[in-house]
Amino acid sequence: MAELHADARLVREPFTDVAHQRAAVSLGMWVFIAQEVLFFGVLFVWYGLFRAQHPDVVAAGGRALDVPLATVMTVTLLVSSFTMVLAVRSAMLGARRGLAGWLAATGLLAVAFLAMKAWEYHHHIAAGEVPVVDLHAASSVVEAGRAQFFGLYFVMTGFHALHVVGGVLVIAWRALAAARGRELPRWTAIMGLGLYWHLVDVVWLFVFPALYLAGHA
Amino acid sequence: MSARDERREDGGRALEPPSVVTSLVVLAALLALTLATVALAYVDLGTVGHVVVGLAIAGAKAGLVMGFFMHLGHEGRLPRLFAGFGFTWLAFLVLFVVIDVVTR
Repeated sequence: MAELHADARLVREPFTDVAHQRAAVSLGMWVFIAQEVLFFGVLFVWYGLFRAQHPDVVAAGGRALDVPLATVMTVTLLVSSFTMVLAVRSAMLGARRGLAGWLAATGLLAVAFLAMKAWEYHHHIAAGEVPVVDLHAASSVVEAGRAQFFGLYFVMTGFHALHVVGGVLVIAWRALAAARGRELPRWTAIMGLGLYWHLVDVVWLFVFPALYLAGHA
Repeated sequence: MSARDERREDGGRALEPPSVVTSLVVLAALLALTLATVALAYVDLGTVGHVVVGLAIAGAKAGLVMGFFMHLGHEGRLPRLFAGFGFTWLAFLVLFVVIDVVTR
Protein backbone atom coordinates (compact mmCIF):
# COMPACT_ATOMS: atom_id res chain seq x y z
CA MET A 1 0.00 0.00 0.00
CA ALA A 2 1.17 3.54 -0.78
CA GLU A 3 2.65 5.34 2.21
CA LEU A 4 0.71 8.24 3.73
CA HIS A 5 2.58 11.52 3.94
CA ALA A 6 2.50 12.06 7.72
CA ASP A 7 5.18 14.70 8.34
CA ALA A 8 4.75 16.21 11.83
CA ARG A 9 4.93 19.72 10.27
CA LEU A 10 1.60 19.09 8.52
CA VAL A 11 -0.21 19.06 11.85
CA ARG A 12 -1.35 22.43 13.16
CA GLU A 13 -2.49 23.50 16.62
CA PRO A 14 -4.67 22.40 18.42
CA PHE A 15 -4.38 18.94 16.83
CA THR A 16 -1.97 16.35 18.14
CA ASP A 17 -1.83 14.08 15.11
CA VAL A 18 -2.81 14.04 11.45
CA ALA A 19 -5.76 11.66 12.01
CA HIS A 20 -7.32 14.08 14.48
CA GLN A 21 -6.73 17.03 12.13
CA ARG A 22 -8.21 15.09 9.20
CA ALA A 23 -11.33 14.16 11.19
CA ALA A 24 -11.86 17.81 12.20
CA VAL A 25 -11.49 19.10 8.62
CA SER A 26 -13.87 16.44 7.37
CA LEU A 27 -16.51 17.18 10.02
CA GLY A 28 -16.26 20.93 9.41
CA MET A 29 -16.69 20.44 5.68
CA TRP A 30 -19.72 18.17 6.16
CA VAL A 31 -21.40 20.77 8.37
CA PHE A 32 -20.81 23.31 5.58
CA ILE A 33 -22.07 20.81 2.96
CA ALA A 34 -25.26 20.17 4.99
CA GLN A 35 -25.90 23.93 4.87
CA GLU A 36 -25.24 23.97 1.11
CA VAL A 37 -27.71 21.09 0.60
CA LEU A 38 -30.37 23.30 2.20
CA PHE A 39 -29.32 26.36 0.18
CA PHE A 40 -29.68 24.52 -3.13
CA GLY A 41 -32.59 22.51 -1.71
CA VAL A 42 -34.72 25.67 -1.57
CA LEU A 43 -34.05 26.27 -5.27
CA PHE A 44 -35.02 22.68 -6.09
CA VAL A 45 -38.23 23.01 -4.05
CA TRP A 46 -39.04 26.14 -6.08
CA TYR A 47 -38.35 24.13 -9.25
CA GLY A 48 -40.44 21.17 -8.08
CA LEU A 49 -43.39 23.38 -7.20
CA PHE A 50 -43.18 25.18 -10.55
CA ARG A 51 -42.94 21.92 -12.48
CA ALA A 52 -45.88 20.40 -10.58
CA GLN A 53 -48.05 23.45 -11.27
CA HIS A 54 -46.90 24.18 -14.84
CA PRO A 55 -45.49 20.94 -16.33
CA ASP A 56 -45.97 22.19 -19.90
CA VAL A 57 -43.96 25.35 -19.27
CA VAL A 58 -41.03 23.35 -17.87
CA ALA A 59 -41.25 20.87 -20.76
CA ALA A 60 -41.18 23.71 -23.31
CA GLY A 61 -38.28 25.31 -21.44
CA GLY A 62 -36.32 22.07 -21.38
CA ARG A 63 -36.69 21.80 -25.16
CA ALA A 64 -35.19 25.30 -25.53
CA LEU A 65 -31.99 24.15 -23.79
CA ASP A 66 -28.98 22.53 -25.44
CA VAL A 67 -28.85 18.87 -24.26
CA PRO A 68 -25.64 17.82 -26.11
CA LEU A 69 -23.77 20.82 -24.69
CA ALA A 70 -25.10 20.15 -21.17
CA THR A 71 -24.08 16.49 -21.49
CA VAL A 72 -20.53 17.57 -22.35
CA MET A 73 -20.63 19.95 -19.36
CA THR A 74 -21.74 17.07 -17.10
CA VAL A 75 -18.90 14.85 -18.36
CA THR A 76 -16.44 17.75 -17.86
CA LEU A 77 -17.46 18.14 -14.21
CA LEU A 78 -17.40 14.38 -13.56
CA VAL A 79 -13.88 14.07 -14.99
CA SER A 80 -12.82 17.12 -12.93
CA SER A 81 -14.06 15.33 -9.81
CA PHE A 82 -11.86 12.36 -10.76
CA THR A 83 -8.79 14.60 -11.30
CA MET A 84 -9.54 16.17 -7.90
CA VAL A 85 -9.44 12.70 -6.31
CA LEU A 86 -5.99 12.23 -7.90
CA ALA A 87 -4.92 15.66 -6.55
CA VAL A 88 -5.96 14.63 -3.02
CA ARG A 89 -4.18 11.30 -3.48
CA SER A 90 -0.97 13.09 -4.59
CA ALA A 91 -1.20 15.41 -1.59
CA MET A 92 -1.68 12.45 0.76
CA LEU A 93 1.40 10.77 -0.71
CA GLY A 94 3.43 14.00 -0.46
CA ALA A 95 3.82 14.16 -4.26
CA ARG A 96 4.09 17.91 -4.77
CA ARG A 97 4.35 17.90 -8.58
CA GLY A 98 1.49 15.44 -8.90
CA LEU A 99 -0.61 17.69 -6.69
CA ALA A 100 0.18 20.78 -8.78
CA GLY A 101 -0.53 18.90 -12.02
CA TRP A 102 -3.83 17.34 -10.99
CA LEU A 103 -5.06 20.58 -9.41
CA ALA A 104 -4.18 22.39 -12.65
CA ALA A 105 -6.10 19.76 -14.65
CA THR A 106 -9.11 20.15 -12.34
CA GLY A 107 -8.96 23.95 -12.66
CA LEU A 108 -8.74 23.81 -16.46
CA LEU A 109 -11.76 21.49 -16.66
CA ALA A 110 -13.66 23.88 -14.39
CA VAL A 111 -12.73 26.83 -16.64
CA ALA A 112 -13.90 24.80 -19.66
CA PHE A 113 -17.23 24.26 -17.86
CA LEU A 114 -17.55 28.01 -17.20
CA ALA A 115 -16.69 28.82 -20.83
CA MET A 116 -19.49 26.52 -22.04
CA LYS A 117 -21.86 28.09 -19.50
CA ALA A 118 -20.92 31.61 -20.70
CA TRP A 119 -21.49 30.58 -24.32
CA GLU A 120 -24.88 29.15 -23.34
CA TYR A 121 -25.89 32.32 -21.44
CA HIS A 122 -24.83 34.46 -24.39
CA HIS A 123 -26.92 32.33 -26.75
CA HIS A 124 -30.06 32.49 -24.56
CA ILE A 125 -29.78 36.22 -23.90
CA ALA A 126 -29.29 36.90 -27.62
CA ALA A 127 -32.42 34.81 -28.34
CA GLY A 128 -34.43 36.86 -25.84
CA GLU A 129 -34.74 33.88 -23.50
CA VAL A 130 -34.47 35.93 -20.34
CA PRO A 131 -36.49 36.18 -17.10
CA VAL A 132 -38.05 39.47 -18.19
CA VAL A 133 -41.57 40.03 -19.55
CA ASP A 134 -42.23 43.11 -21.65
CA LEU A 135 -45.62 44.29 -20.37
CA HIS A 136 -45.95 46.94 -23.08
CA ALA A 137 -45.53 44.52 -25.95
CA ALA A 138 -48.35 42.13 -26.82
CA SER A 139 -47.14 39.64 -24.27
CA SER A 140 -48.83 36.27 -24.14
CA VAL A 141 -49.19 33.67 -21.41
CA VAL A 142 -46.69 31.51 -23.30
CA GLU A 143 -44.12 34.30 -23.20
CA ALA A 144 -44.67 34.90 -19.47
CA GLY A 145 -44.22 31.17 -18.81
CA ARG A 146 -41.00 31.11 -20.80
CA ALA A 147 -39.70 34.10 -18.83
CA GLN A 148 -40.51 32.28 -15.58
CA PHE A 149 -38.71 29.14 -16.74
CA PHE A 150 -35.62 31.15 -17.64
CA GLY A 151 -35.83 32.81 -14.23
CA LEU A 152 -35.48 29.32 -12.73
CA TYR A 153 -32.76 28.45 -15.23
CA PHE A 154 -30.62 31.52 -14.61
CA VAL A 155 -30.97 31.43 -10.80
CA MET A 156 -30.24 27.70 -10.47
CA THR A 157 -27.39 27.53 -12.97
CA GLY A 158 -26.13 30.97 -11.87
CA PHE A 159 -25.72 30.03 -8.21
CA HIS A 160 -24.08 26.79 -9.31
CA ALA A 161 -21.71 28.68 -11.62
CA LEU A 162 -20.80 31.06 -8.76
CA HIS A 163 -19.78 28.00 -6.75
CA VAL A 164 -17.65 26.83 -9.67
CA VAL A 165 -15.97 30.27 -9.84
CA GLY A 166 -15.19 30.10 -6.11
CA GLY A 167 -13.76 26.62 -6.57
CA VAL A 168 -11.59 27.68 -9.52
CA LEU A 169 -10.07 30.54 -7.49
CA VAL A 170 -9.10 28.31 -4.56
CA ILE A 171 -7.90 25.50 -6.87
CA ALA A 172 -5.68 27.96 -8.78
CA TRP A 173 -4.29 29.36 -5.52
CA ARG A 174 -3.42 25.89 -4.17
CA ALA A 175 -2.04 24.73 -7.54
CA LEU A 176 0.32 27.74 -7.66
CA ALA A 177 1.40 27.17 -4.05
CA ALA A 178 2.14 23.51 -4.83
CA ALA A 179 3.98 24.38 -8.07
CA ARG A 180 6.18 26.95 -6.32
CA GLY A 181 6.95 24.35 -3.69
CA ARG A 182 7.62 26.76 -0.84
CA GLU A 183 5.64 24.66 1.59
CA LEU A 184 4.70 21.05 2.06
CA PRO A 185 1.27 20.25 0.64
CA ARG A 186 -0.98 20.13 3.68
CA TRP A 187 -3.18 17.33 2.46
CA THR A 188 -5.99 17.82 4.98
CA ALA A 189 -6.65 21.25 3.42
CA ILE A 190 -6.59 19.76 -0.10
CA MET A 191 -9.02 17.08 1.10
CA GLY A 192 -11.37 19.85 2.32
CA LEU A 193 -11.09 21.58 -1.07
CA GLY A 194 -11.84 18.23 -2.71
CA LEU A 195 -15.01 17.80 -0.63
CA TYR A 196 -16.19 21.25 -1.75
CA TRP A 197 -15.43 20.48 -5.39
CA HIS A 198 -17.34 17.17 -5.32
CA LEU A 199 -20.31 18.98 -3.75
CA VAL A 200 -20.35 21.38 -6.74
CA ASP A 201 -20.39 18.29 -8.98
CA VAL A 202 -23.25 16.69 -7.00
CA VAL A 203 -25.41 19.84 -7.30
CA TRP A 204 -24.93 19.82 -11.08
CA LEU A 205 -25.91 16.12 -11.23
CA PHE A 206 -29.41 17.24 -10.12
CA VAL A 207 -29.56 20.52 -12.09
CA PHE A 208 -28.80 18.68 -15.33
CA PRO A 209 -31.83 16.32 -15.48
CA ALA A 210 -34.13 18.85 -13.75
CA LEU A 211 -33.69 21.61 -16.33
CA TYR A 212 -32.14 20.17 -19.47
CA LEU A 213 -33.77 16.75 -19.72
CA ALA A 214 -37.37 17.91 -19.20
CA GLY A 215 -39.86 17.60 -22.05
CA HIS A 216 -37.89 15.71 -24.70
CA ALA A 217 -39.90 12.48 -24.94
CA MET B 1 -9.19 -2.57 17.92
CA SER B 2 -11.40 -3.99 15.17
CA ALA B 3 -11.68 -2.33 11.76
CA ARG B 4 -15.19 -1.21 12.66
CA ASP B 5 -14.04 0.48 15.87
CA GLU B 6 -11.27 2.20 13.97
CA ARG B 7 -13.73 3.66 11.49
CA ARG B 8 -16.01 4.78 14.29
CA GLU B 9 -13.27 6.66 16.11
CA ASP B 10 -11.85 9.07 13.55
CA GLY B 11 -12.43 7.64 10.09
CA GLY B 12 -9.28 5.50 10.28
CA ARG B 13 -9.80 4.06 6.80
CA ALA B 14 -10.06 7.58 5.39
CA LEU B 15 -6.35 7.92 6.16
CA GLU B 16 -5.62 5.63 3.22
CA PRO B 17 -4.95 7.54 -0.03
CA PRO B 18 -7.82 6.95 -2.51
CA SER B 19 -7.29 4.02 -4.89
CA VAL B 20 -6.79 4.99 -8.55
CA VAL B 21 -8.47 1.80 -9.82
CA THR B 22 -11.55 2.21 -7.60
CA SER B 23 -11.85 5.88 -8.59
CA LEU B 24 -11.61 4.97 -12.29
CA VAL B 25 -14.37 2.37 -11.90
CA VAL B 26 -16.55 4.95 -10.12
CA LEU B 27 -15.88 7.50 -12.90
CA ALA B 28 -16.82 4.91 -15.55
CA ALA B 29 -20.07 4.16 -13.68
CA LEU B 30 -20.84 7.89 -13.44
CA LEU B 31 -20.28 8.39 -17.18
CA ALA B 32 -22.42 5.33 -18.01
CA LEU B 33 -25.25 6.63 -15.80
CA THR B 34 -24.98 10.04 -17.52
CA LEU B 35 -25.47 8.41 -20.94
CA ALA B 36 -28.36 6.36 -19.53
CA THR B 37 -30.18 9.39 -18.12
CA VAL B 38 -29.79 11.31 -21.42
CA ALA B 39 -30.99 8.32 -23.47
CA LEU B 40 -34.01 7.77 -21.18
CA ALA B 41 -34.98 11.44 -21.50
CA TYR B 42 -36.02 10.71 -25.12
CA VAL B 43 -38.15 7.67 -24.20
CA ASP B 44 -41.84 8.29 -23.45
CA LEU B 45 -42.24 7.54 -19.73
CA GLY B 46 -44.79 10.23 -18.87
CA THR B 47 -43.92 13.30 -16.77
CA VAL B 48 -44.01 11.39 -13.47
CA GLY B 49 -41.92 8.57 -14.95
CA HIS B 50 -39.29 11.03 -16.14
CA VAL B 51 -39.11 12.75 -12.76
CA VAL B 52 -38.74 9.39 -10.97
CA VAL B 53 -36.10 8.06 -13.39
CA GLY B 54 -34.20 11.38 -13.47
CA LEU B 55 -34.17 11.64 -9.68
CA ALA B 56 -33.22 7.96 -9.21
CA ILE B 57 -30.25 8.17 -11.61
CA ALA B 58 -29.10 11.55 -10.20
CA GLY B 59 -29.43 10.09 -6.68
CA ALA B 60 -27.38 7.04 -7.64
CA LYS B 61 -24.67 9.28 -9.14
CA ALA B 62 -24.67 11.53 -6.07
CA GLY B 63 -24.38 8.41 -3.90
CA LEU B 64 -21.33 7.24 -5.86
CA VAL B 65 -19.66 10.67 -5.62
CA MET B 66 -20.38 11.01 -1.89
CA GLY B 67 -19.58 7.41 -0.99
CA PHE B 68 -16.28 7.17 -2.90
CA PHE B 69 -14.96 10.57 -4.07
CA MET B 70 -16.08 12.26 -0.83
CA HIS B 71 -15.04 9.11 1.11
CA LEU B 72 -18.19 9.14 3.22
CA GLY B 73 -18.01 5.34 3.19
CA HIS B 74 -14.74 5.56 5.13
CA GLU B 75 -15.74 8.29 7.55
CA GLY B 76 -16.57 8.01 11.23
CA ARG B 77 -20.08 8.37 12.62
CA LEU B 78 -20.09 12.15 13.10
CA PRO B 79 -19.50 13.25 9.46
CA ARG B 80 -22.13 10.71 8.36
CA LEU B 81 -24.56 12.12 10.87
CA PHE B 82 -24.03 15.67 9.55
CA ALA B 83 -24.30 14.50 5.94
CA GLY B 84 -27.62 12.94 6.96
CA PHE B 85 -28.76 16.15 8.71
CA GLY B 86 -28.61 18.17 5.48
CA PHE B 87 -30.85 15.74 3.62
CA THR B 88 -33.15 15.20 6.61
CA TRP B 89 -33.90 18.92 6.91
CA LEU B 90 -34.36 19.09 3.14
CA ALA B 91 -36.90 16.25 3.45
CA PHE B 92 -38.78 18.28 6.11
CA LEU B 93 -38.77 21.30 3.80
CA VAL B 94 -40.16 19.24 0.91
CA LEU B 95 -42.74 17.54 3.18
CA PHE B 96 -44.19 20.79 4.53
CA VAL B 97 -44.24 22.46 1.12
CA VAL B 98 -46.14 19.45 -0.26
CA ILE B 99 -48.57 19.58 2.71
CA ASP B 100 -49.09 23.30 2.08
CA VAL B 101 -49.74 22.87 -1.63
CA VAL B 102 -52.04 19.84 -1.54
CA THR B 103 -54.23 21.31 1.22
CA ARG B 104 -54.79 24.72 -0.39
